[in-house]
Amino acid sequence: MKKIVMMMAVALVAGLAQAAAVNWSTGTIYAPNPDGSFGAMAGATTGSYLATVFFFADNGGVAGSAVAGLTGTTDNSTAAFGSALNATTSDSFAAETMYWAYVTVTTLPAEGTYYTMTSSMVSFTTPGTGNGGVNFTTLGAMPTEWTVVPEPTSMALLAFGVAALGLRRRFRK
Amino acid sequence: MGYQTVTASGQYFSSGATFVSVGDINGQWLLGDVTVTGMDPFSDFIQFLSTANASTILMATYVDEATSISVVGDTSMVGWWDPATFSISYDNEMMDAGTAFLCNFTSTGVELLYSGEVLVGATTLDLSGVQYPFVANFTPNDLVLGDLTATGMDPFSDFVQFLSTANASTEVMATYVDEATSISVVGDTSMVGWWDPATFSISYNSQSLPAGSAFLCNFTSTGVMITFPDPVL
Repeated sequence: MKKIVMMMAVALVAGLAQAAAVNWSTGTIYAPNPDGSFGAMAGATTGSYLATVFFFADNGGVAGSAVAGLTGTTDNSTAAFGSALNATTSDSFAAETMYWAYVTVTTLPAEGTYYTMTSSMVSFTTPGTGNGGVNFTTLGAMPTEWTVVPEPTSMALLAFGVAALGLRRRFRK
Repeated sequence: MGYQTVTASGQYFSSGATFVSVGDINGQWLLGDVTVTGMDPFSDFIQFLSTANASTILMATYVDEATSISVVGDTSMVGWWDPATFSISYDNEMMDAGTAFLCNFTSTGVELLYSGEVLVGATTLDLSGVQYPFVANFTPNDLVLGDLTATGMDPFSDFVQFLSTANASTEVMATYVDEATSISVVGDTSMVGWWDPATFSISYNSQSLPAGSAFLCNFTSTGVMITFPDPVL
């Protein structure tokens, strides 16, 4: 016991807490069919898309405020694999901390119809050492269908129609 | 020559090659000589850590033959790649013997196949000037921490950390008391070996260090060397 006390008397121990990056992936993305269902694997030969991830701090078990400067985008037009993935900056996340994230993916056709899909919000915890990882497919967050995005003309007509409806209601009062 | 399969025991398994490249006079190993089964290149990756601050300096994922064929139609993608773009191959990355990496596997049962030559003889790793070397048991033998000896390690400021395979946080911390320190502090050699650095009341000489497993160091001293036993004795 005396020896232990002698050793302890001069002991000083420091811990290790690291900031980390997060490597995120949508998992495999499949090209849209005209009805919005998934088609063939989207890759170098089947068009490109833009993926954007939004990260949030945890707020008592739900997503809180956005983590600034952490929107990651990937244009997969030249990638060989049909998956959107990227890594965040290395000092963005605290170690052993819960965060939340969701991803939106939009097709980028040269012309024609745009499609989009948005994952559900998922939580993840960064590791004590090294970088974390978020795979939206593994976490069951990716949707099973694409959503058709109205082209700009259709969007304008839709907006005009909504405005007209509002005006008609005001005149009825 | 030989090979050995090491199974990742958790998401954040710490590992390193148990063989060096055949004919390599510097005792280094090649990442491209490591093959993997059960790794999903879209969700699993390994990380090499900076010896300066323990942050990640290289991330790599492995594309196996089946995945390569299913995605690109041939085997041209088999090997180690940058997981963010799959545009940078890491097959030619050379690592010093004992250099470890941290896994991040969401897949379970991932198997790492190490092959090459056994580094014969007791081998001393020169860790001078680096604070956070990540050290693997590079022998094909299961060891305990007490099989390793250290020089230049200050037991009051330097320690090694075994990381949790569940969350990569520190699970066990150990420091080495050498003969000179033991004699100077307690008057005899009874404290020589690996100890809990917070209390020096728990010996970690029997801490398991299986072949291919690893620990993360935290040294403030600048001249630390760790010696592994001859694997053929």
